[in-house]
Amino acid sequence: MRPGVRSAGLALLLLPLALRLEAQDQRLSARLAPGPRVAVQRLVDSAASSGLPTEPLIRKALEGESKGADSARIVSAVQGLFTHLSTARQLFGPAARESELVAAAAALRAGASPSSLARLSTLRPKEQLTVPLSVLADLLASGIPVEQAWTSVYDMASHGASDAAFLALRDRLTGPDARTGPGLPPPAEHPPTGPLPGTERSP
Amino acid sequence: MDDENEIRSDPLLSDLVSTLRHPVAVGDRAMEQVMAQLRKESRRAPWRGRAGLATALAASVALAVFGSRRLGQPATAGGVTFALSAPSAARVSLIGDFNDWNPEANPLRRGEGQWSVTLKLKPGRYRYSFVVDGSSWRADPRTPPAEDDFGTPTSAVTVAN
Repeated sequence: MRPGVRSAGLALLLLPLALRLEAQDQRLSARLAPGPRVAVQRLVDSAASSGLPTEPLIRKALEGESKGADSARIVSAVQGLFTHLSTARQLFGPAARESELVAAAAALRAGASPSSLARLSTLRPKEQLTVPLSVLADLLASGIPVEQAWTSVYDMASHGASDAAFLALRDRLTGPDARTGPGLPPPAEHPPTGPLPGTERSP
Repeated sequence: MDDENEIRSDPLLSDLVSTLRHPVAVGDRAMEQVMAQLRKESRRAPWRGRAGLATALAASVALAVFGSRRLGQPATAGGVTFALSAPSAARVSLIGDFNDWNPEANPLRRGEGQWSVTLKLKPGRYRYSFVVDGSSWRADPRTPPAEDDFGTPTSAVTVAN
């Protein structure tokens, strides 16, 4: 066999390995130990092949690393998010945006039922679900019981409430401190930062 | 008149907010019955029960009363200001989904009375924390707590379109 042909054959044999190494996320390589890195990478690969967003999974792993969690906990958290994203994808279909899947996963993680999320999507078939889902997650994470949080969001959605109205509902129900959250005016004793640009809703 | 007074002046709003702020315990069976009824109502027609009507009216009143004010104004894609009061801190970092949870990415600047930083974020839900002096994790006291898998104080912000 001629040397050139032999080299080309070797390159072809090594190509899958090279592609696999290339596919590994550099952030995971840099920040995770080999054990959890391999496990998380497998979940990321599985998500990619299933049409799920991979960035939320990588961010979850990086969050765990940053917070000093042990390997098992990091992998468990990523696995849990993978499951919730999968559920959200099944509920909302292939057209759902990453932001909607992330918000849905947060709501599921906080205790919302898949059936309630499915009903929400039927109430807002032409509008994005990111804000209502995120508000539902916020209400649940604040300790409001599932049925009451769901009823609040359901009522708003069934009457065509805007995203701003959902956020107002959340601010109202989760206590006075929440009224000056990110993007909102600072507390009265501090000088205002001025209005934020682009506060109008898109049509 | 502040927001609480406005709520108190409106019996319907007052009842709604009071109920939701002081929830009663409901058993699993009752929950199932409620959800079954909700599903049934949904199939039949849009929400028609008294509770639904009352809540819808309350929501409409709330929007009419508060809609023109900054209350509930969403954080938008134009910029989100994160702020924390930590007078004795030497360094405060913002760490979250938007910066790969990297404490070096978004340090806050000390201002008059508080630390702050403004980020441009795409629409979506982001979880985050503050890290004070490199070791103390703090949630944002101005927002409700967020779900967390690692046992540290975490907040969430929703950026609307």
